[in-house]
Amino acid sequence: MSPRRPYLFAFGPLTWLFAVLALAPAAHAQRYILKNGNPLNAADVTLASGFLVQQIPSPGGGSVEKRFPLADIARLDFPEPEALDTADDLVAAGKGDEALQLLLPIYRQFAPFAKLPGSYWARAAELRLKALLLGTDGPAITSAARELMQSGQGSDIVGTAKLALAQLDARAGKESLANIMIEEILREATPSVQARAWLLRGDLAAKRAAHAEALEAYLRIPAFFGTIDELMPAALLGAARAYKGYGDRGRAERSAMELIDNYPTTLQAAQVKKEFNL
Amino acid sequence: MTLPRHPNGSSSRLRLPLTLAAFVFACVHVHGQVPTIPLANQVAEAEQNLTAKRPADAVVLLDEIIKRAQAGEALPAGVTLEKLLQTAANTNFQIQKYDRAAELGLALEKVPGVGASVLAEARMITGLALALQQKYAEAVLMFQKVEDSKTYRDKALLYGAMSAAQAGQIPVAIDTYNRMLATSARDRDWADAALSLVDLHLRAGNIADARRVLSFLRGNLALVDNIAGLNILSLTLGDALMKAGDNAGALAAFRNVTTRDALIAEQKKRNVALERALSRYTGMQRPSATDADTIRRLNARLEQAKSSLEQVEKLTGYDATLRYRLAFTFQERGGAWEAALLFEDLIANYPDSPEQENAYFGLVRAYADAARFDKVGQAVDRFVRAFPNSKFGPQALYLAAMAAGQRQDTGAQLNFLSLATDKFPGSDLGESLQLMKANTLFTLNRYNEAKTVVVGYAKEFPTGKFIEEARYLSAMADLAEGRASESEVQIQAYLKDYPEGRFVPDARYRLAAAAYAKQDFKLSAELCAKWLADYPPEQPQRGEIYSLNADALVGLDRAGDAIIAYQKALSFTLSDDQLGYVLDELTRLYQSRKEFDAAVTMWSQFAAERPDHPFVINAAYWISRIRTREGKPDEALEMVSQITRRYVKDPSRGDVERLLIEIASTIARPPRVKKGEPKPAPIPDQVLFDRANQLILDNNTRSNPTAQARSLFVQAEIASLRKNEAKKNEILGKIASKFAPDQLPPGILGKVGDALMAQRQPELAKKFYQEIITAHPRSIFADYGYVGLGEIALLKGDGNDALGRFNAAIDVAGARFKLKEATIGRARAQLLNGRLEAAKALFEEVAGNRNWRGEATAEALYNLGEISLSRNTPEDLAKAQAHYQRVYLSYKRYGPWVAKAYLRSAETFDKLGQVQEALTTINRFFSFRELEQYPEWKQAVALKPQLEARVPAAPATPVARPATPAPAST
Repeated sequence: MSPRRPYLFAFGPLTWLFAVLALAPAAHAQRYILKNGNPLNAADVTLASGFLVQQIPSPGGGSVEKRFPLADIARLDFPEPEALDTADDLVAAGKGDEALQLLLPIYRQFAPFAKLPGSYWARAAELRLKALLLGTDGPAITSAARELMQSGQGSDIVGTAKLALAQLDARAGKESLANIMIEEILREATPSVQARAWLLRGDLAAKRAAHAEALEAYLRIPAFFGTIDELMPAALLGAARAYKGYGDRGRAERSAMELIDNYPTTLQAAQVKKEFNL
Repeated sequence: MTLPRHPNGSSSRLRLPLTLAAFVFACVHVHGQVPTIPLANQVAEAEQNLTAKRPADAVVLLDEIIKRAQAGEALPAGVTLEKLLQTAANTNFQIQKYDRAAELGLALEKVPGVGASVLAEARMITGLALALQQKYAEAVLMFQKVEDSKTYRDKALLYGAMSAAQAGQIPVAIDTYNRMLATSARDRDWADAALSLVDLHLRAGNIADARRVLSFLRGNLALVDNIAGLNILSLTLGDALMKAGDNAGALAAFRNVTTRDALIAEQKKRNVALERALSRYTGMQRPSATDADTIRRLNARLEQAKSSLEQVEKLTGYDATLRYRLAFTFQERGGAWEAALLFEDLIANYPDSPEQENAYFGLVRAYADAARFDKVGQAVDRFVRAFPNSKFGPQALYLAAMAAGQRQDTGAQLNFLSLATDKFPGSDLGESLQLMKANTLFTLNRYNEAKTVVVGYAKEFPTGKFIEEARYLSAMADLAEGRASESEVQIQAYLKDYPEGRFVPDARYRLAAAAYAKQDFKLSAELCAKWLADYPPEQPQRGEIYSLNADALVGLDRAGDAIIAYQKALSFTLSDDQLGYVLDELTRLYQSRKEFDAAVTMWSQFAAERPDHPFVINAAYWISRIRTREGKPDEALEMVSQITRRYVKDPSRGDVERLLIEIASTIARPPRVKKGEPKPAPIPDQVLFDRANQLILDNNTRSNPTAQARSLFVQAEIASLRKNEAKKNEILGKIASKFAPDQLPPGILGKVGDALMAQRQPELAKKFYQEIITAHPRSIFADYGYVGLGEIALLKGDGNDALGRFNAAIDVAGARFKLKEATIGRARAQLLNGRLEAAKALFEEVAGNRNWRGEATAEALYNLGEISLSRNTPEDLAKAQAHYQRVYLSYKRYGPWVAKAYLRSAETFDKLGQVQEALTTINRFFSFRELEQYPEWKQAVALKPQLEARVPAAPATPVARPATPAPAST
C-alpha cells in the first residue's frame, strides 16, 4: 500500500488562506425550529399534549394562547445536555442508579420529539437502558429495550436493544436464546454493538468454563475492534480470567497487567488486581 | 471639514474615511485647475470599484495613486500611503497577482512608522503571495516574522510549516508544527496540522515522534474530519515500526486502523456532515468575511477528505492486508490467540488475497505458540491441502511436529515429520526433520526405526550438522534394543571420534550402566568412580552417577557404601524421577538394615528442607508406613498429620488429599489382635471420626472451612474403607451442602461431584466439577472436572460438548486419575455423534487395556459388538457375536452388560439364521436369576416363544429343554 498523501495541505487553490479570522462559537440557544423556518425559543413555550403553547400578552392585560402542533416542528436546536456525558461516565463506573437520576429528566423532555433532528432522546434512552442493565429490574429493561427497538433510531440503537435482551436471557440462564439474539446482532449490527455481543458471548462461555471458547470471544475485541477503546477493559478482564481457566498463567497475567497499565482507573482494573493479587 | 461617514461603514479592504459625496465635491472644487485627475477622485473611484467587486479595475487605479503618492503628491486627507499599500497588496492578492502583492507587501515594510498590526497583515499577504508563487523558502522567512503577532500567530505558524515542508526544510517544518500544536487552540486546523506533522515525522524517519503525535491525535478524534487520511497514516506508521522491529508499536498503530467498510462509512458520514456545514454557510444571504473564510476552509477540507476516501475505496486488498499486519504483529507480541482469530478470518473471508499462503502458515504458528495442539494438526492439514507445494510447508510441519511433541503426542509428531520428510525431501529443514523424526521414533520405543532414520541421515549427510547426534542416537537405539555389545562398540567409536563431544559424559555413564546391566558391578563401580573423578561437581549428571555407583555397590553387597553414595546423590541436582528413585532405594536399604529412625529422619529432613516439594507427600507416606510397621500407628499418625496440618487450610494444595487418604487408612485399620486374646469389638465410626478431627483440626485450623471439609473427607474415606458406602455418600453430601465449591480443594471437589453424580444429581455435581476446572485448572485432579462435565454432557445428549470435555481431560489435564473414564467417555461421545470408526478405535483401546479390565472392558466389548452389529454383514455379525460372548463369558460380574450381551447375542444368532443357538443363549441367560432385574430379561422372555416357533424340527430323540423361567412379575 503506497497511498498518496491526501491528508497534507496543498498550496494549490489557497487564496482562502488569507482570511484568518477564527470562528467564534455561537451562543447556543434552546429553540424549536418550525417547518416554515421560524424559531421558537424554548423559554417562551410550554409543552401541552401534541402542542407547544406560547402565551402572548394581550394589550388589555392577560394573555392569548398560541398553539404550535408538534408536527410543525422541523428540528430542535438545543445544546447537548452535559448530564448525558456525566451519565455515560456513571454507567461506565457501574453507578446505574445515579446515572438514571440524571437521565430521566432528559429522556422525558425529549420523548415527544424522539425522532426529530437535534433531539437527544435516542442517546438518553440508550444510556437509560445501559443504566437499567446495571440493575436487576428485568421488566424495566425489557420495556426499555423494546421501546428502543421500535423507535426506528438506526441499527446501532436497535442493536443495543437486542443486546440488552440477550443479556437478560443470559442472566436467566437461557443461553441458547441469548445465542440466537447474539447471532442476529453479529449479522446485522454496527461494529460497536457486535463487539459488545462478542463480550457477552465470552461471558456465556466463561460461565460454562469453556475457556478456549471464551478466549476466542473476548479476544475478538482487541483483534477486530481495536478502535473501540471503551470495551477493552472488559475484554482484557475476561481474557485474563479465561487464560487462567485454560491454564495459561503467563498470558493471564499479561492480560491483567495490560488492563492495569492501560486502563488503571476502571472497575475492571480494580477487579483484576484483586483476583490476581497484583 | 468633517466628512460624513460612509453609509456602509469603512470597507474591509480600503479603510478610507471618504465618501463618494465628499469625493465628488472635491472633484468639482479642483476641476479646471489641474489637467490630471485629482488624487481624491482616483481614490474615490478605486473605492467605488472595490465596493462594486471590481478588484481588477481597482488595482490599476491604486497602482497609479501609489505611484503619484510616492512621487510626492499629497494624498487626500485621511488617506495614508500605508493604507493605500495595504489595500493594493490585498486587492492584488485577491486577483491572484501574487508577484505584485508581494512587491507591495515588501514596500509596505519600508514605510516609516507603519503600525504593527498593518505590518503583520502585510507580511502575511507577502508570505502567502510568495508561497503561491512557489517561493517557499522566502515565504518561510516571511511567516517567521509574523509569529510574534497575537492576531496572526497561529496562521503564520501553520503556513510557515506548510511552506517549509514544500521547501524541503523538513526539520523547520516539524519544529514549526510542533510550536503550533503546543500553543494553538484544538480545532479542526489543529487536527489537520497534526496529521501533516505525523506525515513529516514519517518522512524524516522520526518514527517515535510520529507515533507520539498520532496517539495524541487519536485522543482528539472528534476533530479529525479526514479520518481516512488518519487511517492511512496509521498503516504507514505501523509498517515503519514493523520494519524497525518495533512490533509493539506497530501493533498499537494497526489496532487503531478501522476496517475498510467501517472506514468508508465513517468518512462518508463525516463528509456528509462537512457538506451540511458547508451548505449552511453557502446558503447565507450576506456572508461576512469570517463566513467566507469558513466556506473556503470547509471546501478544502472536504476536498481532502474525499480524496482520501477515494483512495481507500480503490484499495480492494485493504482489509486483508490490515488483517495480516495485525495478525503478524499480534503473533510477534505473544498474542497467538488473537493472531489465530485474524488468520482464520483472513483465510475464510479473503480467499483471493495474496496473503492467503502466509496466513495459513501464520495460523499453524499461532496455534503452536498458543499451545493449542489440537488445532495445530488441523491447521497443517488445511495448509497442505490449500498450498501443497508451499515453500513454508516444511516449516509448518516442523512447527506442528514440535507442538505435537510438547503435547507429548508422539504419534501425531511422527505423522507430521513423516509427511514433511516424504513430501519435501530436499527442504532446508531436511536435516532437522530427519533428526527430530529419529528422536520421536526413539521416544516411541521404536528403536530399530529410529536407527534406520539416523543411518539414512548419516548416509545422506555424512558431514551434516547433526551427524554427532545421529551417531550417538544410533548407539542408544542399539542399547535400548538390547544390543549392548554393538552399542558399546559405537559408544567407544563415538568417544574416539568426539573426545570433546556433547555426549561424552553421557556416553561414559552409559558404558558404566551397560556394565551394570551385564551385572559387572565391579566394572560399573570403577567406571562411575572414574567418571566422578574426571568431571567437576557442577556437571549436571553427577547425581545420576552417584546413584548408579550406589546401585553397583548394592550389587557388590556393600550396602553401607551404597547408602553413602545415595546420600551423596541427594546433594546434587536430580530429576524428580531420579530423586524419587534414590529416596525410595535409601528407604529400602534402611528398612532392610532395620534403621527405621534413619529412614524417618531422612524423610522428615526432606519435608522440612523442601516443604513445597511434591515428595513431601511421599515423606509423610513413608513415615507413616515405617512407624505403622514398627507398630507405632500413633506416632505415624502424629507425623503425617503434622505435615497435613501445614497445608490443610489451603484449597490450592491439592496433594494434601493423598495424605488424608493415608490418615484414613491408618485410622480405619483394625487394631492388631494379640495371640490368645479375643478379637476386639469393632470401634464405632464416631470414635474414628473424632480421632480424624483431632488430627486435622487444631486451634489454627478448626475454624477454617477448607480444613473442616478435609476432616469430613477423611471421615468419608474411613466409611468407604469400612465398606459403609451409605455413610460415605452421606458425608460427601454433607460437604456438598455445607461448603461452597470455592472452599474445597480439587480432590474433594472431584469426589463430591462423583458422589452427587452417583446420587443422580448432575446439576449440583456440575458446580463442583466446574469449580475444579475454573479455580484449579492445573491441579492433578483437574481431570475429575472435565470427565464429570463430559458425563453430564452425555446425559444431556450433547456429544460434541462431551467429546470436548473428555478430550480436555486428557489433553489439558493429563488424565492422571480418570484416563479410563475419559477414554471410554470419548468413545461414548463418538458413538453418540455417529462416528463409529472413531468410537470403535477408542472402545478397542479400552478393551485392550489390561489395567482397566473390569466393567469398562465389558462396556467396551458390548459396544464393539453393537458397532459390528450395525454393519449387518455376515462377517460383522460374527464379530459382534464374538464380542457379546466375551462379555457374558468373561465379565459375569457386570450384570447390566451381561444381560444386554445375552439378549444381543441371541438376536445376532437369530440374524445369522442360527435359531437353535439363539434359543440356547436365551436359555442360558435365564439360568442366571440375578439378571432378572434388568430390562433385557423381559425382552428375552418375549423373544423366546418366537424363537421356539421357528426352531427346526426336533431330531428323533427328544432333547430335554430347559424350563422357561417365569417372568419376574409373576
